[in-house]
Amino acid sequence: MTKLLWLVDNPLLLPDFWLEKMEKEKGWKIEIRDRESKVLNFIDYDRIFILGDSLSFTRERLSLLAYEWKVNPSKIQVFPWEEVKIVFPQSFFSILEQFIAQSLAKPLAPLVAERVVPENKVLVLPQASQTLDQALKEKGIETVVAPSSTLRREGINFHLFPSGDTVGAVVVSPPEEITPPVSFSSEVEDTRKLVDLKFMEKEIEKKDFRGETIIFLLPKRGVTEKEWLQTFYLSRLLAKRDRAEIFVLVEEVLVAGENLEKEYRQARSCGVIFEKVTFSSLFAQPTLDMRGIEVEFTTERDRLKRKIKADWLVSLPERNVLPFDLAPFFDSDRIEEAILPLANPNLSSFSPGIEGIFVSLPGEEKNLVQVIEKYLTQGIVRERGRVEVNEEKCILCLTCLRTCPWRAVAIEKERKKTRVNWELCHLCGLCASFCPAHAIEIKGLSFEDWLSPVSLGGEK
Amino acid sequence: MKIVALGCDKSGYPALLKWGEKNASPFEEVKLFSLPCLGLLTEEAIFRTLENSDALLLAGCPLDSCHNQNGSRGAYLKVKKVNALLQEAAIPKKVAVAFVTADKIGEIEKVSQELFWGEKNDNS
Ligand code: SF4
Ligand code: SF4
Repeated sequence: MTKLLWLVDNPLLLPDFWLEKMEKEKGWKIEIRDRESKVLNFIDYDRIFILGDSLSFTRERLSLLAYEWKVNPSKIQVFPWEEVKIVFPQSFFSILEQFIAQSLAKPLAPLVAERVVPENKVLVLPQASQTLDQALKEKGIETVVAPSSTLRREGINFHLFPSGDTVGAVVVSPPEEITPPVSFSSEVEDTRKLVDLKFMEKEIEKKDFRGETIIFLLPKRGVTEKEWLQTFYLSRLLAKRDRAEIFVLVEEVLVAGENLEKEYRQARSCGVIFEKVTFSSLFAQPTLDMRGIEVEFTTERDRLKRKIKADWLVSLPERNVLPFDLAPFFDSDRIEEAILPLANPNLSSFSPGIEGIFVSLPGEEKNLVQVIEKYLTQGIVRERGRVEVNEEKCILCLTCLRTCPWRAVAIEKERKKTRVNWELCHLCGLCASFCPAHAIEIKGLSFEDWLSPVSLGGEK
Repeated sequence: MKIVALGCDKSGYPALLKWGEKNASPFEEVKLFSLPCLGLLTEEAIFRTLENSDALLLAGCPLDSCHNQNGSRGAYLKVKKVNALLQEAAIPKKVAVAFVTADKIGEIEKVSQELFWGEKNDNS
């Protein structure tokens, strides 16, 4: 007797008469459980089907479930309810039957979902800043200092030569370039009214800015969250306490974050004027009496030219993170480009798209270390055995090596063979779809698998 | 016109479902399928899907925010190749790809209209 488990949202979808019929006619012993209920032993079942909103069952989630349930991932199948619900109930049961039959007809691939946990150590390249070092220490993450190492990937970890150390993550702390947001003439600097945020922080306690006009300049790149908060706070205080006239000129306001948003609103309600300005159109010169700075700019909102005589110009530097070349550190032809975090919102933050490599950005060290800590302690669930290279078919063209976005394909130098590093593989299928020799198989995720389970109406 | 619509399970499929709910499809029949990533499509798979349909509509993550970095790009390259081959062989079928996020379906609407009206609409 074949034992099947169906996890469903709504048990009414699979009525008793159908279950009895299946047991009698097909020899399928089908058990129905609510999707939320606790099932004690998943191993007992030949297949586990999930019925109901299939949207939330992405590949990663299924791997995770297989790991939690301790079953072969290819035993779990999501019935594409959304694709068939329009035919409910007419052809629904015949499709369901067909779906089960097709799934049982395929031999199970020998897959294992495993949690891969990296070594709890990091290497910082080229060297950790004080803040980063501090943040790592606070979390108890051991750092390895080996600035002239060569790295080789070993599964999820990195092996260092010549020291022989193994680290789970590499943090790249790229060089940064600090420039003023606008190039000010020396005359402007001579007024001594061009100051930085720290100056304001200090002066605000001693000095009364009553009736003065103060302009804050915040560039788009490299202003940290702390600096934003500080600007909102100072500008609010100056506007409220001293009734000073405050302008905050920005290229973009960063209010992503609960605190930031709150502070921003409070500053505005105290009369601080925020103005979006293109800094390239901004011009500053000393006032005639050299006691202030005259700032001229065009507002982005209404394209009006404005001229403001400021008693103080508080300017924050623009910090540009420069690309960092990883190639010299890697014993591999796969890490060839200079890295910076990808601007891909779907990748984990600070990630340049390479598993285990993180980019440290100034001002973000604390958040970065949190991400790293989670990565190093929880690891990731991956499927062993899902992607396989057929060595006989492989013509060693290295297309897979070049197409894999996760750099999971490696060449075994000694044997001159390509191999997929399952610990790094995200099961995207790119390598298999580009392999000219059809040498790569992604078990259970091939064309037949994703198209045929239920082609509507049964015809193909 | 009967089409098959394939979407990746991160962005494309949820968006296709939304599009379906809106009843904005100009097609007579749409068969919907999900797959883990558009990147796993091969030219062969595309041709085989076209055997049973008049057109194929793919929906995947936006190029710069693909969950698998290059999945959508890979699909885009293949779609271009397949369309060129179809045109060369004078087969009146077409593949189109829409880059969408799970909750923004405007691109599917646009691409499906283009697919439905064909070249005529491109010029107008
Ligand atoms: S793409 Fe295929 S043939 Fe080329 S090296 Fe990779 S597995 Fe071998
Ligand atoms: S399936 Fe994707 S991640 Fe895995 S080896 Fe192939 S290309 Fe790389």
